[in-house]
Amino acid sequence: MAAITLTGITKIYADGTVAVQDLNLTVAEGEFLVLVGPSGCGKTSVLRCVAGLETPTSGTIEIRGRVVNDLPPQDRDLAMVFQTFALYPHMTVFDNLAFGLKMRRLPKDELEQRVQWVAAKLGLTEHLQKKPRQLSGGEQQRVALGRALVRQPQAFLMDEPLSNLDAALRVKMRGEIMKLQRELGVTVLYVTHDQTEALTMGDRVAVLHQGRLQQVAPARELYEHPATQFVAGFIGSPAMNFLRARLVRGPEGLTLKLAGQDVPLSDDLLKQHPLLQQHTDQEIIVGFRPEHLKEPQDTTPGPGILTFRGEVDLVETTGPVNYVHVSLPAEPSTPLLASLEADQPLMTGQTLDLTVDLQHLHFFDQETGRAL
Amino acid sequence: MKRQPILLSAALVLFIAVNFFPFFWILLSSLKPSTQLFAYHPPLWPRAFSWENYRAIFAERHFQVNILNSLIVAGGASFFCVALGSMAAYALARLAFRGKSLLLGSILVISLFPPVALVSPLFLFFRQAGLINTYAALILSYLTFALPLTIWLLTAFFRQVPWELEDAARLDGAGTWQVFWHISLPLAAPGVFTAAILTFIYCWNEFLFALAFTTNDQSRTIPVAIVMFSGYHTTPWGQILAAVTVVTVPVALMVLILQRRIVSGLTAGALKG
Repeated sequence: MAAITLTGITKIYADGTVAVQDLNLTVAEGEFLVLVGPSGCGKTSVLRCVAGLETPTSGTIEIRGRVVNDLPPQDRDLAMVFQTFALYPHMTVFDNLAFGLKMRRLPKDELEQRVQWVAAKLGLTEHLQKKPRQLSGGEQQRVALGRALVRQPQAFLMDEPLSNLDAALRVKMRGEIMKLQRELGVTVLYVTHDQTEALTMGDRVAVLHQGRLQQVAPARELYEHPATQFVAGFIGSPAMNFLRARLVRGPEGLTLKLAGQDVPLSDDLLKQHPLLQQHTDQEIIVGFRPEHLKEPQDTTPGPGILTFRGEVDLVETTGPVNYVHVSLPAEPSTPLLASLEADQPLMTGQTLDLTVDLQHLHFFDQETGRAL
Repeated sequence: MKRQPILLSAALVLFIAVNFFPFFWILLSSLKPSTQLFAYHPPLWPRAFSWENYRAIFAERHFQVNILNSLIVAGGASFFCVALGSMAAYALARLAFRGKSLLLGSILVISLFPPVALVSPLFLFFRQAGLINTYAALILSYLTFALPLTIWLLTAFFRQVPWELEDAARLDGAGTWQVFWHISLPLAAPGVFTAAILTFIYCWNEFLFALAFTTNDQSRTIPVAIVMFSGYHTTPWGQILAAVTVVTVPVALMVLILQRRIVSGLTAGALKG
């Protein structure tokens, strides 16, 4: 049975803002599902609807097969970790952890036992008598997690729990949360705007854009087969390059007119992208990732290779990899971004050839953004 | 340590001296026998200390009864004021409903009515209800004047409690009352203290209603009782000064001890902590 099932959830706020539109999503038992999208995409609204802090305008929310639309948050038996941690500032760490159990009238010795168990698990035992403000950011985050864990709820809801931490701590806590989730086998619905967090943590990742679900898939699949142009651009860092192109019927079959070049498409490629046929004589969007752009000496030349010649605008050094911005004479308004190994110096203004394997191209409908 | 500018320190000393002089004069005079008190050139420092005035107000005038009355009335009014005010303020801070700002405005308008204009109708009302000479009459009338300030003060405090804390508590299994009692109220505690203290001081010093709604010595509060010390022919200044000293010292001490709380309460909301 699915832990959480959302069917046709729409949320329209009193001021007319449409936050979520017709969302269908299931979180399986023991699954770590990440809901990702840019700020304002509706992901937090979804989470608050599941928690019961907001009422969806339409649609049903089920927890383990039971419709909970009319249940107040305190009766849904879910735990939530907030971005601001939301620790009770006037209570000690012990009381923070115990609050949910006290509200559920757990016998005193069992309460004590559970709090000690969670404190030991999260390394908080020595801090139990402190107030939250005496703790470091990472420790506060652990208390927030502990407060959720101690309750042993039906599922965990996490609303950007790591975004208030500094970069190093974020990576560490990311690992800790994943380890805990695997170890305890709990169900997690995790909201973030950080695609790296989404890809590394989620068993599956749901991408939300302007209140609409774009794609739900494991990280690998999102990266390799994005269902829409939005997903393609949002997932992966640095972001995918997009160029306008035109499909025409040429002497060698279906041909892509791209950045001033004619590129015949092989039968294999057309088999992988059957929808391309229907877009003959139409404009489409072609996308390819910066990491798939190579320098010619690293490529075996052949018919399946596309070459761009352009001028280096800017080189960003990150250590092992340089992000090279290259402007093409045919497409001056959309410079390409290539991530190239930083083994040889590149000068701004120099001419550079870049190749990409046609296998790495993604095709999108210009209007709907759907992958072809 | 940083050196205080001399002029500023001097100004401060002068300010304190001027402000405290009347109080010291009262304190010292209350300890003078009447011959010194009514002398043509009264001495600043008593030549001989006398406790006669203090003995007289407690032994002859039963001033302790009036102190008890004031404690009950001021304490009761503060308690009900904070209890009702915090619930009203919580609702005003947290609930979204139509006409909220109008309601907040009209609450403030109530406190703008001049008390003098209300004395007669309230007297008639309390006489009809048989409440003259009862604590209830004073507590009720004080509540109407103290509640608006309390509600405004506490509304500001409850607004400062982050929503997420209440959301977290609700997910932790707390109902509305439990959220209010365990989370919001403790976090608004400085405001609750401030409101309680201000109300207490207001009721402790209130004269007009207390004069109108009490008619015998047993039910009078301190300010009225002190005024009633004066007879047709004499005004016992020594006893009045002793009584004033007795009732000022505890309040002054309370404010001194709690002033940190009051200041943080009054300025809260001005700056983000």
